[in-house]
Amino acid sequence: MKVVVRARGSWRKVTFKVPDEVWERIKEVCKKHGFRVDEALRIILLDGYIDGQTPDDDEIERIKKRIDELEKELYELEGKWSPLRFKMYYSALDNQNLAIQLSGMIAENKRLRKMLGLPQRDFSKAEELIRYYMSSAFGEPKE
Amino acid sequence: MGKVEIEVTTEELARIREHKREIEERFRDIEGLERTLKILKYRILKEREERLRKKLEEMKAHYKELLEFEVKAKEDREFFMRLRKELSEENRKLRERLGG
Repeated sequence: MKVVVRARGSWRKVTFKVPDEVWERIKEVCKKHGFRVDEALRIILLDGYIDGQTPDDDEIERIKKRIDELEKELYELEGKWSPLRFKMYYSALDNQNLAIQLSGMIAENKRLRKMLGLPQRDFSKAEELIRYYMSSAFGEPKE
Repeated sequence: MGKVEIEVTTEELARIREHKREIEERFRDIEGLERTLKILKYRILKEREERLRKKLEEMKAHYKELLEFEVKAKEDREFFMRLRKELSEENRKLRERLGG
């Protein structure tokens, strides 16, 4: 097999002659480990080989299994998370509407009590919640 | 003889020319290629595992927040409803007193 390496947009090139049996082995090794031949060629031509401990097949299988488990768990959680997220968005909107109503009613109560010379009620808890639901965090679904 | 072409940048081609002999040796060293691909595969899988683990942790934290908010929103709604009923009645009475 002739491997012709060209510079992009240029006539310059370098050619390598690779025996067919070696080329077949390269293709086999790529297929076995899930790489494309052009990726292997870039390693051969540019990146070079990595020295070090070769991970054993059991360890690779263990990670693959763990990835499958994580993907499954994530998929299941997403299935529960998305509907709950929308449900809570509408709950927050409902409470926001109630907060708007109450805000007006509290203002009226304060005004009436003042006009009648009555002591003011403590609305601190309600006012805190009103601020919470009126905050921009509920303008759209929480990410 | 078959032919396969690969495109690289001008700088890369210069590097390839410079290291032609080493590259020819690498073409013959299939064991080295296999070791490299195996190590790369391992690294890619580890990175993927880590990304998924992190995403799952974030998702779990979000989900927990949502569950907590579900309880809070329900309690707050009940509180708002009670207060609305109470104030509706009280404000009506106060308006009457003021009118009378």
